[in-house]
Amino acid sequence: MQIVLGILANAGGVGKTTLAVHLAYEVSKLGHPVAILDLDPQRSLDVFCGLEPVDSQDSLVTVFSKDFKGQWPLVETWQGSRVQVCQGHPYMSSMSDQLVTRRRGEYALADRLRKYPLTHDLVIIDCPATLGMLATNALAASTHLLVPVQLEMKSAFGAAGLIEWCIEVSDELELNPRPPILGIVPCMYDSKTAIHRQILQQLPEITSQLSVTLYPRVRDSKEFKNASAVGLPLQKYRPNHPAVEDFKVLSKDIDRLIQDAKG
Amino acid sequence: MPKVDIAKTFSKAISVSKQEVKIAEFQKEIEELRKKQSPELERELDNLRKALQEQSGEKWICLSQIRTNDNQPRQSFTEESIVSLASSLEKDGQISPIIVIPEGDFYLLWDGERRYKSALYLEWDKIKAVTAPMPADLHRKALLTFIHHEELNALDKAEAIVQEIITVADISPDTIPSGIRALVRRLERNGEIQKVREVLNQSREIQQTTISDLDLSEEQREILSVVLDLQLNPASIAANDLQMLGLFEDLKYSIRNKGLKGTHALVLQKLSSENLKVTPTKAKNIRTRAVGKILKNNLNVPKTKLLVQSLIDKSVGTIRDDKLTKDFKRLVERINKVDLSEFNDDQLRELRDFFQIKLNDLELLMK
Ligand SMILES: Nc1ncnc2c1ncn2[C@@H]1O[C@H](COP(=O)(O)OP(=O)(O)O)[C@@H](O)[C@H]1O
Ligand SMILES: [Mg+2]
Repeated sequence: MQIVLGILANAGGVGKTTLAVHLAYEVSKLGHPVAILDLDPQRSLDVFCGLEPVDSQDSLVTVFSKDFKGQWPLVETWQGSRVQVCQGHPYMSSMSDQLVTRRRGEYALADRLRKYPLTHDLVIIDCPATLGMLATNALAASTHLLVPVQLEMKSAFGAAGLIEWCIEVSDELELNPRPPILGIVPCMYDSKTAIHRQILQQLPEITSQLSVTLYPRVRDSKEFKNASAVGLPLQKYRPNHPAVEDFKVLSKDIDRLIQDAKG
Repeated sequence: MPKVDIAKTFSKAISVSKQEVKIAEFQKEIEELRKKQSPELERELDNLRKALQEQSGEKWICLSQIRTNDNQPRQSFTEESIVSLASSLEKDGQISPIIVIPEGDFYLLWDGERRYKSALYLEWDKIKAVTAPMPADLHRKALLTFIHHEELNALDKAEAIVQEIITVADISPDTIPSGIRALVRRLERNGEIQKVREVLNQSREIQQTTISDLDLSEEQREILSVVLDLQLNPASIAANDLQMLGLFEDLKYSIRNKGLKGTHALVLQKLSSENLKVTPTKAKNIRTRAVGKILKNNLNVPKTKLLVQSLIDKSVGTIRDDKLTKDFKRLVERINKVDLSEFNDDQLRELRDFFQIKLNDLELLMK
C-alpha cells in the first residue's frame, strides 16, 4: 500500500504548496519516489518546481477525463531528484463543476488511483484553498491528511473548520477508515510576532484534545520566497539554511509510515 | 495587546473528535460485554445508537448489501423468536436502527441480527441503520483516553496496561509484572530512566529511536515500546500500578464495586492472614469490615494506616491473651484435682514450702 497525503487548508496562502514541495523533496532524499498532484486551478506548484505551464491534456485534468486509460502525465522536477509532478491547470475548476453531477464524482480521483495506481511510495495532493469538490476528491483519495496552519486568527479559524469538515465529509462519504489527520504544521512562524507566539503556545493543548500530532513549526524566512522564485526547494537552494531542519521530524514520520505500509 | 485565545475556535472540532472517541469507547466496551454476555449490553448498545444518530443520523440500507459479521460470537435465534419480532416490526415499524460498519460497497452487520433476520423474513428491501466506524482503528485513541482518564481506578488502569502489552507484544500475562520490574531495574542501573521520561510525549518515531539506543533485551524493548506509546512512565507503573495486580481479590472487588481507592487498598493489603495470624477466611472478614469503616467514615490514608496497625495489634494481641487464659484455667483445674491424702509427710512438707514461696511472689505482684 502507498501513502497518499492530502495537504488541506481552509484558506489560501498558508503554506500548503510550500509544505508539499519541501516534504516531497525531503522524503525523496530518504530514498522514496514521490509524486505531487496539483489539484489547484491556480497551478502555483509549477512555479515552485520551476516548470512551464502545460496544456490541459498534459495536466491533471486529463486524469479526470472520461477516456483516461492510465497515462499519468508526470514530469520530472529538480534535476536528479526522485520527485515527479502531475501539473495543474485552470480547467480544473470547470472539471470540479462537472464532477458534481458525475456518478461517484467525489471518488473520481480515488477511483483513478485505485484503477491506475501510481508506483511512487508517496503521493502528495496539493489542494486549492476552498473546501469544494476538489478538496472532497483529495479527502476521498487520501490515506492521511496534513493541515498547515498559519499562526493568525483567520487561519486558526480555518483549521478548526477544516477538521470539522474532514470528519463530517468522511462520514458522508463513508470513508472507512476515515483518513486520519497525520498532524498540524504551524507555518511561517515569526518569533518576533506576539500573536504567533501566543497562538503557537496554545496549540499543544488544542491538538492534544483533538488527538492530533503537532509538528514542529516552519519558521518564516524570506529565503522561501527566494527559493521558489527560481523554482527550487530551500534544501537545494540553500542547503545549510536553518529552516531546512523544520521539515525533518515530519519527513521521518512519513518515512516510517511508508515502511509500515510496505510491511 | 490583549491576549488572543484560539481555544474557543476549536471547541466544535474538539467536541466532534471527542464524539468519535466516545463512539470508539462504546464499541470497545460493547465487544467486551458481548464476550461476557453481560446484562448491561443492551443499555450500552442504546447509548451507542444514540451517539451514532447524533453524529450522522439514520439511513435506509438495502438488505442485500448487508453481510453478517463472522468475527462476532454467533447468536442463535429460534424460528419462533424471529417470526414474533417480524410481526411486531410489521405492526409498529422498526423502532431502533441496526448498527452497521461500511466496508466498500457492503455493510458489515455489527448489531441487530435478529432484526435483520426478521426483515429478511418479511422480505423487506431496506432496513433502518446507523453506521459506525471500524472499531480497531480507533483502539489506541480510545485506550489512551481510557488510561489517562482521571477517574479511572488504579486497578482497571493496571489491567488495561497489561492487556495492551499482551495484545501488542504477545507476552504471557504472568511474566509481565516481573518483566516490567526487570526493565525498570535495568534502566535505573544504566542511568537511563531520565532519557525514557523525556520522550514520554514525543512521537512514536522519536520514542522508537530512543528505545533502539538502549541496552535492553528484545522482550524489554517490546514492553517499553507499548508503555511509551501509551505515554506512561515504566518506573511509575512499576512503583504504583503493578502493585494493584497483586491485591487480594476481595480488595479488587471493593475497588471495582464499592469505590475503594487504590492507595487505601494497598494499605489494607497488610491485613493478610500471616500478619493477622488467623485463617485466610478470618483475614478476609477483617478486611471487609475495615473497607466498610474506611468508606463510611471517609478515612484518609494516614488514618487507614493507623486502623490497619490497630487491627493487626488487636488480632495478634487477642491470640496471646486467649492462650494465657486457657493455660491458667488448666492450671487451676489441675491444682484443684490434686488429692493431698496421697502424699507422704515429706512430700507434704515440700509442697507446703513450695506454695509458701509462690504465695510470697504472688503477694508481691499484687501490690
Ligand atoms: N515559511 C515561510 N516563510 C516565508 N514565506 C513563506 C513561507 N511559507 C510560504 N511562504 C510564502 O507565502 C506564500 C504562500 O505560500 P503557499 O505555499 O503558496 O501557500 P498556499 O499553497 O497555502 O496558498 C508564498 O509566496 C510562499 O513563498
Ligand atoms: Mg498553493
